[in-house]
Amino acid sequence: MKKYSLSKCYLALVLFINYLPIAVVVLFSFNDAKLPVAWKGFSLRWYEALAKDAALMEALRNSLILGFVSALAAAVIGTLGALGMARVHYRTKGMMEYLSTVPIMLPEIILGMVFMAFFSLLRLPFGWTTLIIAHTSFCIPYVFLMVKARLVGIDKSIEEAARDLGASPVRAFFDVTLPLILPAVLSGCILSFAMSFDDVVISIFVNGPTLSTLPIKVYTQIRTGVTPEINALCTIILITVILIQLASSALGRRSGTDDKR
Amino acid sequence: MKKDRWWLCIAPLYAFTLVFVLGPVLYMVTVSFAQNEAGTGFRWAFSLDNFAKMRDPVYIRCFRESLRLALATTALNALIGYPFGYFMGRLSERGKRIVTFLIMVPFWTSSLIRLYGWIILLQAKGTLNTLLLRLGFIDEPLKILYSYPAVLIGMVYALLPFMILAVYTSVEKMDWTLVEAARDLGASPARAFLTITLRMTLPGLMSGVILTFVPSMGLFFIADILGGNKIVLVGSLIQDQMTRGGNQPFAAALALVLAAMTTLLLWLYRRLTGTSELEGMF
Amino acid sequence: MENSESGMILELRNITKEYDGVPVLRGIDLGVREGEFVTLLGASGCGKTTILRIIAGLTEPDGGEILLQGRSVVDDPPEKRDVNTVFQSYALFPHMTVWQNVAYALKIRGIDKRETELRVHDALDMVQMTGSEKKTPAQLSGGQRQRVAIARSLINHPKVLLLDEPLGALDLQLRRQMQYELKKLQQQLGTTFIYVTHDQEEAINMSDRIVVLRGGRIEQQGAPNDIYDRPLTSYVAKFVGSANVLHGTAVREQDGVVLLRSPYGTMHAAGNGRPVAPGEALTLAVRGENVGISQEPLDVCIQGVVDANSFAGGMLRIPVRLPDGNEVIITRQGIHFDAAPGETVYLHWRADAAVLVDREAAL
Repeated sequence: MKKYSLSKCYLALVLFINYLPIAVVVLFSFNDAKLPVAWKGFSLRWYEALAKDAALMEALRNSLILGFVSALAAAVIGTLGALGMARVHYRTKGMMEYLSTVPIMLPEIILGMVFMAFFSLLRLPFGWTTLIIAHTSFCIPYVFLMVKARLVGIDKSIEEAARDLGASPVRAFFDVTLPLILPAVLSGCILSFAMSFDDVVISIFVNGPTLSTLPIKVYTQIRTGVTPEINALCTIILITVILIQLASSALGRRSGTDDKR
Repeated sequence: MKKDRWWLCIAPLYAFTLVFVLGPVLYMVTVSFAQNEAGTGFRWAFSLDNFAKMRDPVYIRCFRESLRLALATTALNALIGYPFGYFMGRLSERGKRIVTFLIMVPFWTSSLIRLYGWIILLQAKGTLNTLLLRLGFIDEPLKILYSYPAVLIGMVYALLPFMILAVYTSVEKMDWTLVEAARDLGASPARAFLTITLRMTLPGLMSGVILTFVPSMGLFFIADILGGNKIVLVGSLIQDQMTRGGNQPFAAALALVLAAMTTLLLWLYRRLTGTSELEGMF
Repeated sequence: MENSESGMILELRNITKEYDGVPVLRGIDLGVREGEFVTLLGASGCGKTTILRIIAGLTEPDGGEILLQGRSVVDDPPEKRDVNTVFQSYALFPHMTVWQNVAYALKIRGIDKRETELRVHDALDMVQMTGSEKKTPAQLSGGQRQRVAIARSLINHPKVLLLDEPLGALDLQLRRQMQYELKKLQQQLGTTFIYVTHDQEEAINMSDRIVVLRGGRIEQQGAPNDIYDRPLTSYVAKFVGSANVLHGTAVREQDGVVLLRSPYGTMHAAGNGRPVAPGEALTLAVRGENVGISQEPLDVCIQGVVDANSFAGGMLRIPVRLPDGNEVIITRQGIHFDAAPGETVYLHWRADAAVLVDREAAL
């Protein structure tokens, strides 16, 4: 019994420290002052300012679009790849698998620098193209590895059974394989989105002169001077995330699926 | 699977990986042997100048600092994160759901903004100091921000969720009857933990280490924000050389050495712990 | 559609298959009659599952021909063949209910809702799984899953049903019960069953015909009685019914009985019609239940020393060690045996209880 409460204390402590900075940021988003040092009264003026801040809003929109597109591209490429590789064995397979996961095995700074140099060489326009390519490349490993792991747990005979019962290969895939790997694909997508949405290092190198993403904007502000609009933005993001999480877990429980992330 | 269908499946992955992963990496390797020119250009002449330049103590110290920070971050992460993941894995179903939720929410919220939260907390006029001053624990504000400890705090904070989730996944999948068997055979709880649990959750720990160590070798912006200008990491160096310095070959060389170091250390860790894949997490 | 000229519903002609340069099937010729219950019997690796997969279309043969009702189907993909498979792991779709699993084949063919309802109900009734429609495979026991797998495969009334060691994962009691039920089902429906197993008991209990496979070749095929009483090779003799295989040299043949001389004594066996030359190396097989013991030597007998015996499944198993280290296993019902371990005994049997078999050929 004693050991049990020790573990819970530990969990609570770490969680508390985890939320401390968030709490502070949220708190000061309602502060009627420019600097987060002293409490000067409750105010929503920073939320107003946020809504009116076109540049920040655009950066947010860009990040959302970028995350969505990259996650989608990574999902398609990664899932197809995992499916193809799971069923056949050939000599260069191991190498290819390793290569596909390289983007998460190298520090981001290297990726950023390498993309920048390579894109310059190819004379690609720095902007949406380069951002999407770069983001997709570090999202693919997540989807790939998750789908691959999921496929291992699926009985190979199931697809054969569908074929045996009269389904064409395409039909067998859609009826049987896809529903079973979908949770892994979705998890990979969600993780990809999170990584993309949060990326600073790589984006800095490949975004080009005009395009800005949210993390880049925040980063610049932190170096020059933060306005509490950022606090307000954080609070809004936080609330959105909490709502989405609650909704998805409620949905998950209702459909009775016990699938792991 | 029919041959042609199979090709169709892996073609996108192959094409993308070869062009946008292998390509850039190979390019970087070749550029690192090129000669720099004034401005942003460089000459295609084979030269080992870039690597020779790195022998300058300034750069060596830079690498050493980066490595030190990465190792410290990873070690702390493992120390804090493993118990967390372990305890988390032992909770009831409901407890697991709650804690998973609580861990994932900050994970989704922009990490930069959360780091900014640390600035608010740790700065001279920050919340922590204000609190400590008010309570009379200290006489003058602690200079935590813009120092090595602050950077360490930031790094660990940013990367902890990865470690926790990796360990948790591994703990959750564990077959607890093995521990029961060990206890039945006479092992004390501590011994059972060390010989059974730890070994079985090693893949998870391994994934966590990879997911922590690799980024920590390159997350220079955290040191930038929380460490001021005192700590120069390889990451900032590379960025500097690429953008302001306009010295692509040297940046490439630095990147190559960094990549080599990272890969080597990972390989070493894998051999030592006997784990082979990143699958612990997924 | 007519069956092939020979009246076979399924014919395999010279089927060959290699994996990574290792031959798995070395020219299989097999004919199956409509309504037959054929069992492919053999040890693991003999190629029996490969044959099944080739018939189903899940694996392509390297060479040979497959005729289903007289028509070549070797180039047809699995979904086009009127053949269904019950997989070893059952392969039920985990994300579908029992009802959806069983109805799947009908759904693909676009059968209307009302007819589907009827046929699914009948199929489940046939395997005694009515009432489980809404359950998922995860909620079923092994035996229940197996029944659902059978229903799912039979709902389309395939010409041939292939079963790949379906009873392997069940416990002994359940296995015996399912053997009986499967046989009954097959007789009711009149569907041709091709059954794969390594268990000779199953093969003997259920089959109209047994095909013994070894090393990618058919060693012998015939009705269970034939295989049991008249094995052609020592492999078949040992594999089906665990006969004792003994070697000797021919002395003479007289009145259909062949006399052999061996290092441990004299033996006799029934002649198989082939003329026997004196001095020829011969092999015979005799089953443990037909071997008698005597405390005194007889005219035709071999000498051995009794070893420790064991009891299993209502039968006593007594090994008798021969001078050159070989063993003869004697089996008896019940638990009583009148010779103690260490005793020297003399083994004998009736001439017609032993058969001459071909010496086990190298693979």
